[in-house]
Amino acid sequence: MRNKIFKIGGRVLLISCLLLSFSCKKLLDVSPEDAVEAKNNYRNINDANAAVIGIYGQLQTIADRYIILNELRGDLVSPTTNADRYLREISEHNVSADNPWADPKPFYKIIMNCNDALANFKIMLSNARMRQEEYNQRYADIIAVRAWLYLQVGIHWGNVPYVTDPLASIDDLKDSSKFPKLAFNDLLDKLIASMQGIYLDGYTSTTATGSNSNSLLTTVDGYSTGLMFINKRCLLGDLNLWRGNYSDASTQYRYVTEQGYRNDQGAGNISFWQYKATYSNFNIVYNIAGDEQSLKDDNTDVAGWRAIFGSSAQGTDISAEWIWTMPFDKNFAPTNPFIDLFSIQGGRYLLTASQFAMDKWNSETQQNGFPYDARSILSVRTINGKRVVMKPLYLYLNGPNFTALNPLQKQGRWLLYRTATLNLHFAEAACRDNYLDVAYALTNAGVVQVFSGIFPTRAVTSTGRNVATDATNIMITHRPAPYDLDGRIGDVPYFRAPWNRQIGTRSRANLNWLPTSLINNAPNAGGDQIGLENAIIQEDAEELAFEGQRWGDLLRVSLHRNDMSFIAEAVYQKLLRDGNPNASTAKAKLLSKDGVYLPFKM
Amino acid sequence: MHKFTLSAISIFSCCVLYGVSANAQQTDAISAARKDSLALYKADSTRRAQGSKFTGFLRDAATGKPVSGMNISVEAYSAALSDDKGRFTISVPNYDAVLVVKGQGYQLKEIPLKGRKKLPDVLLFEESFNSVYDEANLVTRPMAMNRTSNAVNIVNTQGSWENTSAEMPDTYLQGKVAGLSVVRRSGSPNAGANLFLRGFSSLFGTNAPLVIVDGMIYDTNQYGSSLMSGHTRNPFGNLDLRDIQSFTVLKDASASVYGTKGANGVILITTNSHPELATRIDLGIYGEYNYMGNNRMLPLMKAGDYRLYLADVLKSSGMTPEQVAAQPYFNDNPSSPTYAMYHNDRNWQKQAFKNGFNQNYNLRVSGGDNVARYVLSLGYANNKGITQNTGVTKFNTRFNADLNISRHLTVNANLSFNYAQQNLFDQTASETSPLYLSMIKSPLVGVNDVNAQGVPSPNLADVDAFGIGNPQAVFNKAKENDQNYRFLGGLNFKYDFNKSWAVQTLIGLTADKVRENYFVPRAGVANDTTANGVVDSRLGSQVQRLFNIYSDTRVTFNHTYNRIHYIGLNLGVRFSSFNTETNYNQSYNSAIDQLITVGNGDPLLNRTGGELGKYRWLNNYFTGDYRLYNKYIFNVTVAADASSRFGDRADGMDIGGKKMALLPAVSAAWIVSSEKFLADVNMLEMLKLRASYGLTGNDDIGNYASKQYYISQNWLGMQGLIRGNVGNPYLQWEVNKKLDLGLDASFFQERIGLTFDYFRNTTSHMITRSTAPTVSGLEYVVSNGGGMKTDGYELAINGRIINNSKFKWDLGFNIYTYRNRITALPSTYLSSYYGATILTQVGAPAGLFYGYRTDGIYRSNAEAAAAGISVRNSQGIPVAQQGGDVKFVDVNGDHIIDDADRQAIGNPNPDFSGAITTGFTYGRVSLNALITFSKGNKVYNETRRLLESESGPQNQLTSVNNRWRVDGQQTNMPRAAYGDPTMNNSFSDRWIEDGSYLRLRTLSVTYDVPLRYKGFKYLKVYATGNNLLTFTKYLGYDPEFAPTGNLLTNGIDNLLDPQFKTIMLGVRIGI
Repeated sequence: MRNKIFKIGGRVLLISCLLLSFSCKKLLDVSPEDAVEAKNNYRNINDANAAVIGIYGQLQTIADRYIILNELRGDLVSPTTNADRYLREISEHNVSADNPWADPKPFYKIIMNCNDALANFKIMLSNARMRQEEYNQRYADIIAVRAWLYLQVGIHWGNVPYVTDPLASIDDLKDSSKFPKLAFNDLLDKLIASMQGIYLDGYTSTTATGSNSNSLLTTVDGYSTGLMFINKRCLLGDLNLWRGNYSDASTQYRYVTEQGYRNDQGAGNISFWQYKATYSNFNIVYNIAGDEQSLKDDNTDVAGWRAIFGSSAQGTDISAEWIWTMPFDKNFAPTNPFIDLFSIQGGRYLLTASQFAMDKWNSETQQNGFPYDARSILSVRTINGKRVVMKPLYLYLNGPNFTALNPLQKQGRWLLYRTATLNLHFAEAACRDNYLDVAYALTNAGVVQVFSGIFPTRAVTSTGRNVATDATNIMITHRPAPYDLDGRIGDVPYFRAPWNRQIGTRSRANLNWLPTSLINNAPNAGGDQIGLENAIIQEDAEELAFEGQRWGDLLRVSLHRNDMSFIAEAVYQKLLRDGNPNASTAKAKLLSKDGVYLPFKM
Repeated sequence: MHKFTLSAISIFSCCVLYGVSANAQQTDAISAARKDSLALYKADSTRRAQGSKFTGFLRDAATGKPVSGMNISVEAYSAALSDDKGRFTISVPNYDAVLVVKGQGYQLKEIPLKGRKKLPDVLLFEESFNSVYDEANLVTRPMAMNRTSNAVNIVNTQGSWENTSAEMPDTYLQGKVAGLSVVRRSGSPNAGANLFLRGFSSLFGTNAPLVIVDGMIYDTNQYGSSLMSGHTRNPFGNLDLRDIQSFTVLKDASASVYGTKGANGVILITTNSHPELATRIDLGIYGEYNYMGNNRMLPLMKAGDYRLYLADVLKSSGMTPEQVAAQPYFNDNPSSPTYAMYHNDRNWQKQAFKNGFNQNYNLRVSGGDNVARYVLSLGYANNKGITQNTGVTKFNTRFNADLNISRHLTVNANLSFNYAQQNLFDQTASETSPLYLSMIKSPLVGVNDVNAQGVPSPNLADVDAFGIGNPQAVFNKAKENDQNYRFLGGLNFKYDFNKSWAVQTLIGLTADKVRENYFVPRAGVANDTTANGVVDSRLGSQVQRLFNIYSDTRVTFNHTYNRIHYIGLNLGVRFSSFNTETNYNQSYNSAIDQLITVGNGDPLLNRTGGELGKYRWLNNYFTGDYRLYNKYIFNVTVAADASSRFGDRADGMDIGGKKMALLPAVSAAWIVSSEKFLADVNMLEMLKLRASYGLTGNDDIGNYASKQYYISQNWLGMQGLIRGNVGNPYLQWEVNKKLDLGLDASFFQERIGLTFDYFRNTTSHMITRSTAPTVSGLEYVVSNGGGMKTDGYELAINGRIINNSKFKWDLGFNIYTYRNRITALPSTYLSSYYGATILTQVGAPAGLFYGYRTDGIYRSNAEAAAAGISVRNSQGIPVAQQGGDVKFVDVNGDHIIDDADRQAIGNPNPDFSGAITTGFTYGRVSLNALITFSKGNKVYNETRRLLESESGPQNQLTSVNNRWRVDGQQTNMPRAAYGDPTMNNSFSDRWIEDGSYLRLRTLSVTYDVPLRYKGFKYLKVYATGNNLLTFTKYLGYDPEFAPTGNLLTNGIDNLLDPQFKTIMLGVRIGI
């Protein structure tokens, strides 16, 4: 009996072994067919390009968040009566725990994809799946995107976890030691360090075309991708500006500003226009002098300031102003979120310009004596009795009387960085670095004017010249790099230096000069640093309103001055002038250094 | 295809290996068995000669007459026949033996002697009697119910000819099995039912029991959702109830033999098997009438009340009385050009419903010889729905054959093909749902355009002044259908080496396809706006495919040693490859309403999409049965499963780099009544105590969730890749531990039978979505972080109350109750469905409704002002309440009603549910009835929420006549308020009702016509009523509905077509 049981047992075991060996691993390894399993990704350069495209595609989905956090928290944008509780909370600096806009997760979602791409790019390079130069360009681009995202997270949440690990497995998520929080300045140091030694220029095109081309520099659906990638030097400048490395910041700004001249050495207008506020393009101009109604108010005419926002096509001129911008196209996701936020037609009209913003423009006087800044008319319009922020809507409200010709075709553009941003940041860095005259020239009057030798008398450089005919030593800053800006202009011999057309954003906007007393009425004579910085930030508001710069500008200055009342007062004025009863509460909160940050929920 | 070949080859080589290894052992087994049987034979001969004999009498239980010609045997020892006095004498090895009584026309019966030398007369019931000795078709072999140690139920359909053709295998089971909840989805033909066996086990995985048809997995999962709102394709619709011979329901740990597919129990279905040799033809012809009782219609307003309501609600929108009066529909001047257009009193609801006729034909041919026996069945059914122009047409065929190739080798073939085409419309509250439109449509307007004189034109009226479409336009012009087929085929080869050893292999495949076409016209339907277009007509098509390959191979061993030890062993392996595919294409705005196919839509508005799913499952199983003296029963089951779905680091047994789920189960039973100390208790036929405990699993964890993968992300027109998830290599099957303590008893020679069970199912490693840390950027992570527990009791009693030759009366009663609790969850979780919020929280049952409690309304403005309560509106801004607003309970006392004031307001799980069955037979007439009931389940009546919303021009229920209109008015119906500014219609206990009901589900009368003609075997006439009577307090159409199979949507009435009544007349002829 025992024997028999053993025999049966033996047989059973034998058969079991046969059966179990049947369960080979391969048979049970099934890869998804509508997704790419990790082991099959990052095989070649096309996969690397797909990673870059995926990251930028995701980036475009946070455009609304970027605008809401950077503008609604600041002093220029207010919620309308249509806005919900969450938007009001953002505006009043009193967010509840479930406020979706106060959640940093969407930023980290893209950061994790950046980390993943960076880690895999390294592997690809070491496995020779990508060439060194291909690697350099893609790696640097994604490093910069990640740094930009972290900068945003740091601006709004203060102490934040800095993670460079892709957190690819579920074990990594459980290990909270992998994501320690960093103070904002430490974060900035890390970000600046991450950009050390990387490739700082744009993608290069290859000679191969069509399907053979591996270049990311291409034209897709009618849009050239050139301006859709982040400008790494501008970002590096901004990081240094935030950190207080003003000279380093100015070096990068200066480099970008002279990009056009470096490219064609004065051969074409682009040498002088590109990335500088000049008298040639995008100005506040009146077709008939003294006639308010004749303001150039046109989407396509690049002579006028409105074309910066209304131009639908990317041409030579507009490429001299835009530095980083991504289009929203009617045919592709995501839908343009700005329509929903700002438009009274086709959207919910949730946000509008604050009274405080209007008051800022109205406090200015134009060179022709009109008692307001005309950029207010082009930035904000009254449609059907409602105050509508127009900058993001010019491509959409393109019918007569600012109606949408095709309400469901939500064309638009996310303008992240442009010449005015660059110039004003350069000015701020110069001001902080104690080159007040350079800062004054950048913001306000231009190098040619400030360093004409006859400042504050206005220089005439063409017929009726009132400056020295020998222009060798005038219209040039004579300051150490990076503040050695050259605006010389002479006809015999014919000579044009890179900065000769530069006039400053205020002059471009047809505004009167800032008081020359800010720089003690002469270059290199010291001046009122705080007063000039205030003027620069005021100019930031008037030029860059609703473009997602405002909260950063206010916060940066407050941090540099170590005085939160600067930001608190601005927000207080917005709420106060909108008649919001919570103005004082918000001010009190912002006066404490922690009060300016959103709560970070781990 | 390559992979298929590969797997086919591996299956084949496995079989060959089996054969070789089994062959090698064969000689051993036979010689051993021979040695054993020779010795036993010698001993038996001696014993038989010495002559322990036993004598007894057999009688018919109804008539008391002796039964002759029955076969009485002691297994592997002796046999005898009963004589014409019902007397038999048989040699017995000892007086502990068990006699088995078998014979034509009577039940099978076992008689344990228990040491007795004399017995009272043995009573035998008819063949169809529900007996404790009935055979259950268990997973690996048939087994008499009294010999199982597990909680098993069998349902013999007896052909189920008396049921209407609308009855399907899933709905048929309603009330038949204690512990099986069968909730019909809707009244739409083919809609079927949700099945839950002993409550729930999973939040995100399936809760439906595994269905096995003739040994093969019958896939009942939904792959992709329908284009038609509220429609669910029901795979049970492709299985003809009349082909089903029996259902065996495994309720406890015995489901462990199906490893990680057994967590929700198993329903084994046997179709037309073991046909007789004689050729038989059965033909059934049925006609049915469907109707909707007038008393089940909702009391909607007529024109008079509606006009008053409309004026009220318009005034609340800020219109002045003059503006309201100036509206064309309030212009009562008969000479006005729009007078005729707006002065109707139409009952749109009544018009939507349409009584209909069904037809149904069934033909079955069976027969054969010693070598081959077969059953071929064919069926056609045309079933109408209760709303206009809806219905289903079904064709089905099934061919089952048993082939005896040689003395050792047999082959079973089971092949079936079913095709169905269903016409239907959108259901639920959508602007394209004709039933919904019929409810909210203003009674003032008419179906057709009319001129100023009131003469109707043949054209259907377009969208009315209130923006509401014309339901008749949808009924007439929309084309929405679902065509589907399923082929299910299996071949089962069995080789018997000898009496003890056998090997068998089953290979089968399922091919299933669903094609949906969808068209809603522009005329008469309100426009909709999508992200990039205003849409008028809507077009769509969808294809869903399923292709599964299945194999099941096993070695079996059965032997009884010395008539004392019975051993049954099975060792096998199942392999299945599942492949699913869905593709859909939706478009809008075809040029004219005659162009109805999707290709005619505006290409700019096209949307396409689809999904591919694939996974493989391998299940190794072992079952061992041991019986000692036929009194002590033990069973061990072990399954070792591997699946492509499991993570590489799952918590399982590692074999060759793959993790396997090891799921053991044990059970034991003691037949107390077979003990000698109960030998003299003659009233006790059988008493068995059972206990089982074991592990089962649920593999419904997502095909690829354990892997890290990338998904596509566009940037303008460029396609990039981003991470789709964080791979969770620890992801594994959910584990469900099943404990069952049961008792089976039978008294008075089986006149009364009773089964009682206590069960406790504990789910651990339940799939949950846990919040991921912010830095991960993920919304959630899928992990095995949850737990759930369901316990309860079930009781089933069957009795034959009256039993004589002319008149028999059977009465059955079953009831079951369960309590479900979530025991572990990473965090509390809220979900919403059709306006309901559902709370999932540790300690609470799944599916709990979560909303505001209310306490009547503010009867006056002063009362509201005194309370000082505000309600957060949809923008989150507090709005002060006024007279006529609903008094919500302010839980946290902050005077603002918002999310923080929500509380549990209803549990959709019933306190108990069950059924009463009864059957009378009087001569040739028999009458059967089934009454089902459910008590204490709460229901969310979304339909009423829409029809008592008082927030727009939609028609309302007559209860709204009682609305608050003047300060101080005593009523509980809030004021009419356009757009509902004070959120009176928030999800609250106002919309929660008691869904208890008691229903006469079926009542059928059969008359067996006496026939003298040769050639005809029988002629039976049937009359059946379905769903005749319902007692409920529920205010909607019907208290029974199920929008989806997800347990978080239980008890949500989202306005599906209601169930209706059917009367059937039919004949069945046997040749």
